[in-house]
Amino acid sequence: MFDLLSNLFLGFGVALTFNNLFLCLLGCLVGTLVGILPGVGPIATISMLLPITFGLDPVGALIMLAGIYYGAQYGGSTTAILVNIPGEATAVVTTLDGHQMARRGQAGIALGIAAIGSFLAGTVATIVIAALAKPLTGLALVFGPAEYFSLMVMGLVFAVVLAHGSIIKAIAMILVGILLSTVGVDIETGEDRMTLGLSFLFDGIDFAVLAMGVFGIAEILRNLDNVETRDVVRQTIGRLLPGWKEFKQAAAPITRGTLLGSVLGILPGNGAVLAPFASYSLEKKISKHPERFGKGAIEGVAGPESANNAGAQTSFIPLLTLGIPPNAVMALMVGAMTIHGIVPGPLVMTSNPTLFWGMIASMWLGNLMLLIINLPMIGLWVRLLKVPYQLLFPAILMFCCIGIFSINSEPVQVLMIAFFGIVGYAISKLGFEPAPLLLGFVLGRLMEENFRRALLMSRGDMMTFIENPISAVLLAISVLLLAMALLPSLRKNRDEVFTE
Amino acid sequence: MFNRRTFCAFVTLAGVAIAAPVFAQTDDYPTRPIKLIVPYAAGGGTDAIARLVANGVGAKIGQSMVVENNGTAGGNVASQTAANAAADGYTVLMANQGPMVVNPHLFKNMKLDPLAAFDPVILVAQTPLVVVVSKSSAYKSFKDVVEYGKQNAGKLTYGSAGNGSASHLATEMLLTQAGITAVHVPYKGAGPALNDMLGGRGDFMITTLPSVLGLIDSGDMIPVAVTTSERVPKYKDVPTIAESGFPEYSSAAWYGFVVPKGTPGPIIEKLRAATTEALATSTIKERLEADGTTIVGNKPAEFASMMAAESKRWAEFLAKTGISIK
Repeated sequence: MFDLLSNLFLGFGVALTFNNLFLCLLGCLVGTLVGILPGVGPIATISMLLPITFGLDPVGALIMLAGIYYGAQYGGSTTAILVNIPGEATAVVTTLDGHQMARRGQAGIALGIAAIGSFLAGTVATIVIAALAKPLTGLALVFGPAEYFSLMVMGLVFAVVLAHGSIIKAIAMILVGILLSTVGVDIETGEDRMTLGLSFLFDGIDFAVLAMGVFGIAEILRNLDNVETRDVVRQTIGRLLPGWKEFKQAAAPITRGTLLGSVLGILPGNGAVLAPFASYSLEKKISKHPERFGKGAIEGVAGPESANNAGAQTSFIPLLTLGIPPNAVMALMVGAMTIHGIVPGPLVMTSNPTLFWGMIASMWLGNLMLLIINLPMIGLWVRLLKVPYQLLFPAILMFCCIGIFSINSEPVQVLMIAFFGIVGYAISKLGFEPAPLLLGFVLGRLMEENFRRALLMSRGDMMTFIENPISAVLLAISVLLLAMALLPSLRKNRDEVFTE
Repeated sequence: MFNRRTFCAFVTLAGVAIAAPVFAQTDDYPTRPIKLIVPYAAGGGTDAIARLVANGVGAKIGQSMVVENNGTAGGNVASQTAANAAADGYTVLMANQGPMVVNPHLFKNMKLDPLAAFDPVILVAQTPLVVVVSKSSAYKSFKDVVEYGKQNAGKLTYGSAGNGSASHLATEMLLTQAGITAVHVPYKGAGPALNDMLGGRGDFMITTLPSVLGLIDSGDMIPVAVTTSERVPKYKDVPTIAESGFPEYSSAAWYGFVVPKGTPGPIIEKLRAATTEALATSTIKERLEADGTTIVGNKPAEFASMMAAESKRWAEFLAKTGISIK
């Protein structure tokens, strides 16, 4: 305990220097900006800014880069709520109820609760990292391919719960998502699959391209279809900040989301991506009024947003304690460390204590800064909704195109968002939802890779998924959830949970 | 009046007139930023070295050197982009084992011959690969792993940074020479693979030294052999694979600069000189050497013959083993 305090004291000593405070603020501002702009993600930004950090000392450089990462999580939810475009996999869930709240004139409350929930989650997650980083690495190591596969199966069962329409249609969308995720080169054999011989499909479909198409472009098409609904959004703005009643409603979801996010973020196999989905499903499951979900339930914003931010923070644990990056952004952080002459690995904590504790302290300061930046900005963002739609949509389209082009400088990808936009429009006209499709897409890839790895290791023995206790428990939970949905005796119950 | 001869003369003159600015430019090269295309995603080992060196070269040559990553299709898209760029010294490709000498024999549909499409500038650095086992592993030495593999065909499991990666090919070369069959589990990058090796779900892994340095220093992973023909100064006690019963064996990851074919000689020389100077600065030297990377900095001709020899070696090996990507 005393160690922790003295370490945190050391950390704040580093993070509170003028230089590092400034870099933290800069990182948060840049992060917020790239989070808000659809397409321009933290990956592109951090790789562009890497050379600029050469002149900085390593602690300052990493503080700034980390700020961009979690700043983008805050910014991303703003776009998801206001214009229904998830910039990253983790913001997909926020579009479900967040955007509905905006449509009902509660954009300010949604943005406010997202910012406050994220801050509280960030605070708890920072404490988790500070106090438990070392013992928690053990958890990262017990998760192997079999465990990840079962975790992803559980995630797909959540996806069924995500849907608020027909259960059959939700499952169909998940399967289409999984199918899309198998496009590209086979990781095991190197064979290319379903690429139609097109070289730009060799590495598969980019998440941002798919998400921006089926959500962003399709949303614009839907709105142009039906101008009156947009006018409703413009006229009723409502209160800007959440009140006591909303707080009381959101408190428990924030707590549960933070716990879920903190645990899933620790897994180096990109477990954080599941956190918001898991939180949303949990909230909908235990809610007394699950029918409110998908129509602007505040719990559906508060829980996932907290889970998302907690996961974003704790995903630093595998990086800082093992030197193993759980996702592409963390891989860039490894690169940044290497460039600055720091060898990422278990020794960072002892050989570079100023870096380790300085970064942790700066994360909490950064979250505080983001809260302070975001709350007064809400008024501004909400006013954005008053901009006439014929001016707003070309701007959104332009930002989408620039954002997509900035990822790989591939003009083909800009055409692909147009294609997926039309697809997204068509499927929503037929009563299908894009969220389960995206979840299937994100989890499908992880699921396939881990399934095949597990089978390679077990020499093709399927029992490996049941013999591993963690995997077995996760599969049992999935089966139970599915059974609850499908058993005839619980049918009435199921209808309440899954349909409007 | 306007017969064929005058027309030819005219064309020749016009050609000289158009070419003239190019020659004029060699003297004051570079007048704008130089693009360094890296055939791997940002954040990896190659990218870290590329950015570090690019920064140094930029400072020496008086124009910034901007890194552009494209890891698509095993780096082949980056090679293609660089090969199609103007041969004016403003596009440089980071040359690595995979895209330069392995992929032409590995990818069945590769149209480009990298050795013909580029002029070598300089071999920047080399980094050894190491055979590592987890600290809780039953294998205490390289011999243990090989002995077990020989007696239990198909029982060993090894991880790699990906299909066709240096890590995968170095292991396959070892397995072929030792006559061992083992199961290959490919990952996306060395990090996730090391996580499973640490957790005891694989027996061993061959990976670049920088990717595993942190885990070696902390004692979580044990280096049992190195792939280079000589021992690594940082780990004097770790034997080479060559001295452990496979004298033919040698493998290393390397990093060089090449430019599109036809780039004027003086420009290549300017780039080479600036890179050599940059490699001599203490910051770059210290950072690369701390990672176990060896700075080379040779002449274009030496780099060319080294790549030609490597290309031949991998062509023969891949043809023999039948490893390919369609």
